[in-house]
Amino acid sequence: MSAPQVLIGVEVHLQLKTKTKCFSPSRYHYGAEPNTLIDPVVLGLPGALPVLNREAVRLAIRTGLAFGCEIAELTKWDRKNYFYPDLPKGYQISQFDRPLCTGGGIEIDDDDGNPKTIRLIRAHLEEDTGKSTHDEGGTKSRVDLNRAGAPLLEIVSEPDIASAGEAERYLNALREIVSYLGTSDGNMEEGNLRCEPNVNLVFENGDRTAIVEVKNINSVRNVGKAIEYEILRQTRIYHDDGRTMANTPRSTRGWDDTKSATVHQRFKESADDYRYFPEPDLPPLSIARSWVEAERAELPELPRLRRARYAEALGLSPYDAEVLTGDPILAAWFEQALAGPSGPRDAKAVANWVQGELMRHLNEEKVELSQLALTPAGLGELVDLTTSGIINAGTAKALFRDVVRSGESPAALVEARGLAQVSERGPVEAAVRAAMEANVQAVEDFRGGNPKARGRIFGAAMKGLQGKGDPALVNEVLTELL
Amino acid sequence: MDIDETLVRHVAKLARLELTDEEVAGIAPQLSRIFAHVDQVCRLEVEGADPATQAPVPMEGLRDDEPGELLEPRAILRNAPAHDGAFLVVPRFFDGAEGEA
Repeated sequence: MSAPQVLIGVEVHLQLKTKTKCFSPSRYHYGAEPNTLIDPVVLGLPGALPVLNREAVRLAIRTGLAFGCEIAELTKWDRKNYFYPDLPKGYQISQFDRPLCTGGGIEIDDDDGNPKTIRLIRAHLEEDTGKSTHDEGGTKSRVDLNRAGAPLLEIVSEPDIASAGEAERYLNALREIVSYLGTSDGNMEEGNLRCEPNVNLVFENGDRTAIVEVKNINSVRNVGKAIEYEILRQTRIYHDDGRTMANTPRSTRGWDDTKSATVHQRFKESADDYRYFPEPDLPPLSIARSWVEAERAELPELPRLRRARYAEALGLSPYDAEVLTGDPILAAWFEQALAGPSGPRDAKAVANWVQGELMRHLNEEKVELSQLALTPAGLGELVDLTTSGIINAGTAKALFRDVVRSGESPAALVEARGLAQVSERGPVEAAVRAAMEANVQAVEDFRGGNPKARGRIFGAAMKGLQGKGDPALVNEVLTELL
Repeated sequence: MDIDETLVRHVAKLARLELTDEEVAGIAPQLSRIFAHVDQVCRLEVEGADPATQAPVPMEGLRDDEPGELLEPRAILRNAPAHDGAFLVVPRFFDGAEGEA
C-alpha cells in the first residue's frame, strides 16, 4: 500500500507594518497596555466612518508584486458578518469578490531539493480582530481590542504543498520575502504572522479524507508538526473507520502545543455563512497602473534570486549564500564590504570574515550590525590587508577585535603600530635560528621523529617576530634549517 | 428565490435575532416579495460593468498613515459591562475557536 498523496493549502494572515490601523488613525503596535489603542471607528460607534489608510494599500501592493500577483485595477470592500467578542463592530471589513491581489506564487525547494512554485489563489486586505484569552477551566474570557482594525493581508495558497517540510519552507520563504520588503515583521510568536494549514489526503483508489483546518499554531516548526500529526491521524481514521470526505464534514482543529496534537474544535456543517455584502461606508478603490509600476520599480532583489546570484556570480557555496542572504541587512552589509576601491573584493574572503569573526562577535556580544563601530568598508580594508599579505592571519584577527569596537581604520592602525607582516628572509631566518637555539630539546625531539615538536619551534620563532612573521616564510625557513 | 420558514430561522440565528413563530410566519412572505423585486433588478444587463456602488476613489483620496486621537482608555472600560484591570471581560466563549480573522 503506497502512502497517500498529501494536499495542503495554507492561509496566512500577515500584519502590515503601518503606524495606524487599516481604516482609522488609531495607532497600533504590539505589546501596548490592553485597550489603549482604540478610537471610535475601531469600536464602530455611531457616526464613526472608516477611511482607508494609503500606506496599508501600498504595503499590500508591494507584497503582492513580490509574490508575482496581479494587482486589481478596481478593488472593493465587503462586510463579513459574524458575532464574536473580539470583533467589536459585529462585522469585519474584508474583501470578498474583488481582492486586491490575485494569482502569483512563492518558490520553495521540494523535499528532493528541486525548485517548486506554490501558487497563490489571492491575497486580500482586511482588518484584524481583537485578541482574547480564556481562563483555564474558568468562566471568563478577557478581551484586548488593541489589535482590532490593524491591517492584515490574507494570503491564500492553492493546495500545492505536499508535505510538512514544504509547508515550513513555504512559510520561511514568505517570511523572508516580507522581511526583505519591510512590509511586515512576520513574527509568529508576536502574532503578526498567523498561519492556518488546510490538510487532507488522497488515497490510491481516489478516496479523499475530509479537509481539516488547523488553527492556533504559534511557530513555523509547529505548523510542520501539526501537519505531520494530521497526516497520521487522517490515515488512521480512514483505515480504521473508513472516514472520507463523502461521509465526514470539514472541521477545524486547534494545535495543542503541550500535547503535540491537534484537537477537535468544531465541524463546519454548512459552509461558513458570513452574509458578505458590499461595505456601504467605503467607496471602491481604483488603483492607477502608474502607482503599481512605481511600486514594482522599488522592489528589492528577492532572497532566492540573491542566493542564486551569490552562488553563480560570486562563486559562494550554497551554504554561504544561504547564511549571507538570510537577513537582508546582513546581505547589504556583506555587499558593501565586497565593494573595494578598485573593483569587487574576493567574495569568498569577505564571506569568511563576515560569517566567521563578524558573526561570532555579533553573537557573543549580542549586538546588532547597526550598532557596530566597524563599517563594511573597514572590514573590506582588513580583508585587503590580509589578501595582499601585508598582515598575517593572527594579526588580522587581533586587529579585528580592536576595530570592531573602535571603528578605526585597520590600514591606519597597521601603519601606526607597525603591524605589517615580516616577509623579508633576513629577519625571519634570524628569528628561526634564535628559536632553534633556545629550544634545543625540541629540535632534537623533532629530528628524533616527533613531528609535534616542530610546533614549539615555530611558535617561538613567531613570538620572536612579535607575531608578525609571514607564516609561510617562517615555515619554509624552518623546514630548511631543520 | 423562495424564502421559507427554515431559511428565515437560519438567518435570524446568524443575526442573533429572537423571532416568535408568528413573526417567522409573517416575515417569510414579506422577504419573498422583497426578493422578487431584487430578482427583477438582477435581470438588468450589467455584463462588463464594474460593481461600483459609489464612484471609486483614487490613491490620492486615501488617508495618510498619521496617528490621530485615541479614545481615553478609562472611557472604554467604563462603557463595557465588565472589566478586569485593563481587559474587557465577557463570559467564557472559547468553544475551541480562536478569533476568526
